[in-house]
Amino acid sequence: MWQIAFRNLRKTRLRSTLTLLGVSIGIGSLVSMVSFGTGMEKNIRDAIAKQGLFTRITVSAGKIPDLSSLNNLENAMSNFDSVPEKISDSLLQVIQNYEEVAMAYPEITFSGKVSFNGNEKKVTVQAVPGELARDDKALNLHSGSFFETDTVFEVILSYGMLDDLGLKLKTDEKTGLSKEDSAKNLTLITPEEILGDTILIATAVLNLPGNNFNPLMMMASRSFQRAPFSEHQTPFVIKGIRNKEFNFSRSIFSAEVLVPMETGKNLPRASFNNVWDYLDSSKKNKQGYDVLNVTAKDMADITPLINKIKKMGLSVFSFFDQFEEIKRSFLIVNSLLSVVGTIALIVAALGIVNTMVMSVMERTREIGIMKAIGGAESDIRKIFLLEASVIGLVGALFGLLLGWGVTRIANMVLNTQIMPAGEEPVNLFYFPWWLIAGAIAFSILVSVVSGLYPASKAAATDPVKALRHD
Amino acid sequence: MHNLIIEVSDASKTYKKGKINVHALRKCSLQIKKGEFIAITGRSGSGKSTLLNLIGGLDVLTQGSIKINGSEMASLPGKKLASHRRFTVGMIFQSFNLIPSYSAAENISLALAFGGCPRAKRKEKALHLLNQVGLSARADHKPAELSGGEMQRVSIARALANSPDILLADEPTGNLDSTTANEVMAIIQELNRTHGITVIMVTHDQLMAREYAHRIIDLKDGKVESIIEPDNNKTLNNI
Repeated sequence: MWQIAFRNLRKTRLRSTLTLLGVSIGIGSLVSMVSFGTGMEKNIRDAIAKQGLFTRITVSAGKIPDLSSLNNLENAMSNFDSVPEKISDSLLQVIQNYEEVAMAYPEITFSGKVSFNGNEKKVTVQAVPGELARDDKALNLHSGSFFETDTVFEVILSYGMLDDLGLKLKTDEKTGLSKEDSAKNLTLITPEEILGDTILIATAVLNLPGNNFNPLMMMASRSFQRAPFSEHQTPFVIKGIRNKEFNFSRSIFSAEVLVPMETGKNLPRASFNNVWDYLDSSKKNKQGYDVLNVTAKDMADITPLINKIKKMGLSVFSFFDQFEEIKRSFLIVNSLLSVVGTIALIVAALGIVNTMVMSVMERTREIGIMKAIGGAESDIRKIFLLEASVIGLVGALFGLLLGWGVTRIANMVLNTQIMPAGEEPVNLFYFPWWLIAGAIAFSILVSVVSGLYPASKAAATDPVKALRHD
Repeated sequence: MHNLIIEVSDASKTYKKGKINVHALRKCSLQIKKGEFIAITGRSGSGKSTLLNLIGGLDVLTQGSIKINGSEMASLPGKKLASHRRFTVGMIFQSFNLIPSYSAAENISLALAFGGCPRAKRKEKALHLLNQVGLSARADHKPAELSGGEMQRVSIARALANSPDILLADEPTGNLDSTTANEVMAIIQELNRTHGITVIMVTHDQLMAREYAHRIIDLKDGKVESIIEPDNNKTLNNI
């Protein structure tokens, strides 16, 4: 039966080709659009997974205000006002001991000023545990290595801040500075030239008795005459440099400078960023942490871990849960894109109906002959439906090729136009196996449905009249 | 009586042509025995082709009955009718009715396919049938490359593909010159005399009818006008 179908299509080559082209364009556009949606989803998911975000949760003390209780406005307002509880060290240890937990450490950040190479930059400093060396997804070092203990005086710098320090790392492709880099007066260096160098980190300290007051330090630092603040400079060794950030891969560390946990904790500094924080905290005088960063051992551990922590009265934010929401929006986006693509396919389907009806009419005599030599109505119907499905199948295959080709070109164009220069090219389009199989199946389905009417017409042909036809 | 292969009783066929009812057959009755060579004659519009189409299962009676091998045609559902067209009758036509884009062998293979012959055996069988009509050399030629006589011989081979009991021939030599016509008729006669296939041939040619048929049934205005047994020393044995 297949042979008959193929041969009949070959007979009317031009007509079959044009109909096929219609189907190909329909499938091609459908597949291109959906591959863009799935591509975006994949890129974001991969970027998140690459940084290990799926196994990370942030834990904070106190409840996040329940929006459903906002009917009592007063209640809600007081919720925002009150200072949340802090997480104690002992609670941190309890969490660290959970079997699902790979790592847990408090979020400790403060502001400081970095001096190097004759340049200064105000930065955010974060204290992180040496254990993080195990999680190289989060770290993503370009050169150098991580701290080995939590008490050394070493720093990890971000790629981006090097610019502000008047430096530019040599890369393999570039042998000289670009125009804009020269304009900024940057010096081209290799990582080895700065790894191991000393960099100064200055923190602001409150010079009041009983508040990290060290007269020796005071003498070594510059101090303002009026306010009781001064800069406290601590030398650090540059241990490593983090990788550059791209559009889809933002680092989990927004801080430009990373220092070891204990070193960071013990660095003399004022424990507040504005005066009101100071006034509030001096009243409450709480010890402990606001936020903990917890990494689970496996994605499967996330849900039980979150439940355990919530039972302790703490609030949990996990990207894992957030991503479910994101997935839902992607589903909507993908569905909309599919609908647009399907419209083209429907137009192609109409083309199939037209072509086949014409074919049936032209082959009236042939159908009569087939019935005369023993063809049953079901045989005739089968032959025409097969022809329709061949159009669907071959059209889908060409359509997939067409869609793939078009997306390749689009990807190239978009990458050169939209993505900033010097970054890795991103693959914006993704063709999972289910998209390919689905496109083929959908195409065959649409074609066969289109062929139902013409095939029935053919099957119902009166052989006597048909044989009299020319 | 027991070797009656076809029994037509009061068969009527009416069809509409625009607003007019055309009575192609009016209460036509006749009987045909197994192994007979019957010629059906009559003017245009006498109903001969209609009768042939009804026997062949291409058309359906309006009234009356046609029994073939004991089965009532009117009560056959679509599938059984198709089966009838495969295994009980084989048809050949004045204009040959070969599919132009298929070769001689492929035309026969198509009929074999409809008859349920497995694909692997089709080519072999088609060649065998072509051989029987002396055309194995032309197996791969398309109808456009064949002469009229050759085309009709291919048609005969095709009609015999599924070993039917009855051969229906609608003016088989109408488009052939006399020499070729004789060749074709010789084959048909052979099929009838040697292989016992019942032949019903519609023809205008009275001479041809007299030469080959056991009986000549003459139709007029949709009814049997006369039945003649021509004196041609070709009587059947054992009827």
